[in-house]
Amino acid sequence: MFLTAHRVVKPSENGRAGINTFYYRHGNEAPIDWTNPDPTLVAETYPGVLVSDDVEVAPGGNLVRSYLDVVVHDSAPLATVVEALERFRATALGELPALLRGEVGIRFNAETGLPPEARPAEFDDLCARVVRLLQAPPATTWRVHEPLTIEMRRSREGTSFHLAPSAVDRLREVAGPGWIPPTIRVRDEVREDLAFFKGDILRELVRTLLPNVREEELLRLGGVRVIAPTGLLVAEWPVRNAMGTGYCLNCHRHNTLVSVWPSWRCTACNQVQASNGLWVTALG
Amino acid sequence: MTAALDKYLQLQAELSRIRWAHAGFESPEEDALLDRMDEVWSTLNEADLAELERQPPPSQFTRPIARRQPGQVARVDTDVFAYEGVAPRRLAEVA
Repeated sequence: MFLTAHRVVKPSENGRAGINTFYYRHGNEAPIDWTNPDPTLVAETYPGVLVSDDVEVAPGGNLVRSYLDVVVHDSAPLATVVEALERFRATALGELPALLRGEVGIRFNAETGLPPEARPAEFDDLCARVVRLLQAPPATTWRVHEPLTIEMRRSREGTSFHLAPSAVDRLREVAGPGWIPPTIRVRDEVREDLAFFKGDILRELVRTLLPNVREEELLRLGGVRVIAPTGLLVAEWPVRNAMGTGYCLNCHRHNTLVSVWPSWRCTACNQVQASNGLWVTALG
Repeated sequence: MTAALDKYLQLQAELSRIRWAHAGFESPEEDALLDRMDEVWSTLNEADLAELERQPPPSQFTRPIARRQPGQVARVDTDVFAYEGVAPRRLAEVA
């Protein structure tokens, strides 16, 4: 497992700051020596599969002021991690980056300018977040909500995007009953120029459709996804671990079902259904 | 050293950390802390003020540089929600 917390600053929003914490798991496939895991190798090359998070400032392009990495086998109990963190705090904060190797690997670093006497307090802030996430993942997270759906339509003139009625209803609770959702129309040549649906293009789409909704608020609402008329998932943020098969009859996404015999469970919306749903896609 | 001076020095150290944490940008936390420092300052006696004059400036007390020069490299976070399997941080050129 890889637990990491970092303090970040968003320069584009006047230095709004916060601590983001992420919890990754590895299973048995990563080429890591779990008897003496290397925090640098794990953090930079094999972070694993993100299973939980606690985010104050939406990630992406923020300046990192400090970070704490903890790497240990997935099966390690909380007490082992806490004991290692306490030992690390007592002995290793003199030089940065501070590193501990062993059954639990730990790395702590901070940008220049943090006074040495302030390191323990900074470490404590990050440490508390890491332990809290390992102990109890937040109950309110994008993972337990259906994402807001943007429907994509193709026509001779180009492509248009609008929020699905269910998304509009949910957003009116935030934006007020008088809010009128916009529609975006993109001509084909522009679409090609922009290499559509890649990375920040989805972000731009969201900024235009939901101009007053911060990314953190969007996360609390479950994130966002773009669905084609066929029901095919075009893009989504956050990316959910779609590693299954079939077609979900509830959230209409492809390849999200895992077998929970004799039924199927959708990894995106958690709905359980009796069949793999492929008969629906066969109709289209 | 009086309790008030001790408190003032603690707040001064905390101010240093808050300014560092926000990379030099002003923040609501800094404003609130400065208000508290003003309150404590007003309770310092003559001897405290003289002692404060003699204290060396706190380490790194000056405001950090938030706006970097073009071409400078900084550690930034990655949008781990947009891409699976990416490292959560990377070094990137920031303008």
